[in-house]
Amino acid sequence: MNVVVVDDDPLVRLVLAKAVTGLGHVSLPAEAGDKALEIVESTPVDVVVSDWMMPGMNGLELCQAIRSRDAIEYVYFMLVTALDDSEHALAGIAAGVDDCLVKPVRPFDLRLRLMVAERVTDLHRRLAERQRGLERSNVDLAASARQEPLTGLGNRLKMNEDLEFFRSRRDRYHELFGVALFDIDHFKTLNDTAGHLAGDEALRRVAAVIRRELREADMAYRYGGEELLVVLPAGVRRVAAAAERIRKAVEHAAIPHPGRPGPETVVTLSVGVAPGEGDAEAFLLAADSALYRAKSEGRNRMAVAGRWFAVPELAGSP
Amino acid sequence: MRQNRTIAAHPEDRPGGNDNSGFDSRGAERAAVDETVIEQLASITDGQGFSVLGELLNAFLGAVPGRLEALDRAVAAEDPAALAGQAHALTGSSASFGARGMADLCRELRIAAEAGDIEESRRIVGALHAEFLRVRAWLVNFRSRS
Repeated sequence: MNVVVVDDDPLVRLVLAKAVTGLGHVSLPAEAGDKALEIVESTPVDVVVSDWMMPGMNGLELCQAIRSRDAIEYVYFMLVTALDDSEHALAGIAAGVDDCLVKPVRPFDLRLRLMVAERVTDLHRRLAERQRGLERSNVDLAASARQEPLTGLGNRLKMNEDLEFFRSRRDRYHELFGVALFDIDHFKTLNDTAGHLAGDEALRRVAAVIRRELREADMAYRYGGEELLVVLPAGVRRVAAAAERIRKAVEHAAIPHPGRPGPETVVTLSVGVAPGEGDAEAFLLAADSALYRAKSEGRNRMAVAGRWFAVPELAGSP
Repeated sequence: MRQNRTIAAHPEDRPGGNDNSGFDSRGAERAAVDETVIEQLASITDGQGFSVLGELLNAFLGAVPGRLEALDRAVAAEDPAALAGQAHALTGSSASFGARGMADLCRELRIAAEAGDIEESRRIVGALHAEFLRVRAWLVNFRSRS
């Protein structure tokens, strides 16, 4: 164990330090409370053995300072008091001291107390490890609870949380965003012809292409059965450009679409784009309307919602 | 010699006021050093398993004369605050090395100094010098025996 030995008297400190070292521990001597605190803050410390009466910070204040730190690792604190000093011993234990030793400290007593300290700190260490493990699994659980398992994209819960975040950034900092709602063309035919497993596989591959095309700040979600939503922190022109890029990338990925009506034999997407204006319901409805228009205009194309429709360079595609 | 008494109680377990005569309650001369404390110190070993007692005793015998000189200066300067502080510091060192007579005298000195009694302080500092000579003789003798 790493044991900080605190006493303003160099002889007492020397005896304690030698005793600690002789018991196979690492002794870290300090001549004052504030020096001890510096050691605790910069080094992994298991035990502090501190005199009560010291100039400057006394043993009790040192203990309180150590206990008030925001650290998982437990520091076992032993206070050294005079034998007739039961009041200080009581106040010390009440303030977070683990054990009291009587002056002059007998090396054999120190040995016994350090054995107890080792047991207790080991217990605390295992608890801390378990706590860290739980915190890690909480983070993992929080992530997996927000992931749609087939596509690996965000699910509706994640989407709702993120849209709320985008909306608040927009309202507070005027940061623009837009949404692109994708739908796999003739998906029902794909399922009916090749089976639901093939449908799932097509969805998975489309999602992979979308993920590859996005930047870190862009988000993608499985919105419904074969509908995928992409949210980008950008104005509607850039969102439309990104949606068009994704649409082409999926087409070029040449994911097989057996039984598809018409000349095409690969999976294609229709996409409706809308600026992130108003509440979620409003811009998702706008994107859905644009998607509907893209479908009705022949599929495998993009349409932009509402007033943006009139902008020539954004008018339908390809 | 009555070693049992020192086994039963720590040096600080006794009232410090009246028992600095070098004699115990039956009038027998009390040893300058509590041997059980020294035996405890002798049980401390270094990484190779060798006793570090010699190193500890050298540190004690090397440090105390300087502390006593500081007490002399504080008496000469008639500085009760310095006297009380240094007396307190020497109490812990003395007790840690089993020099219970010195520890008792230090406690008395602190009380006298805190009361501003320079004359009594001067007397006790003189007694401390004498007691340290006894302690040193005892420790040197112990070291040559062991």
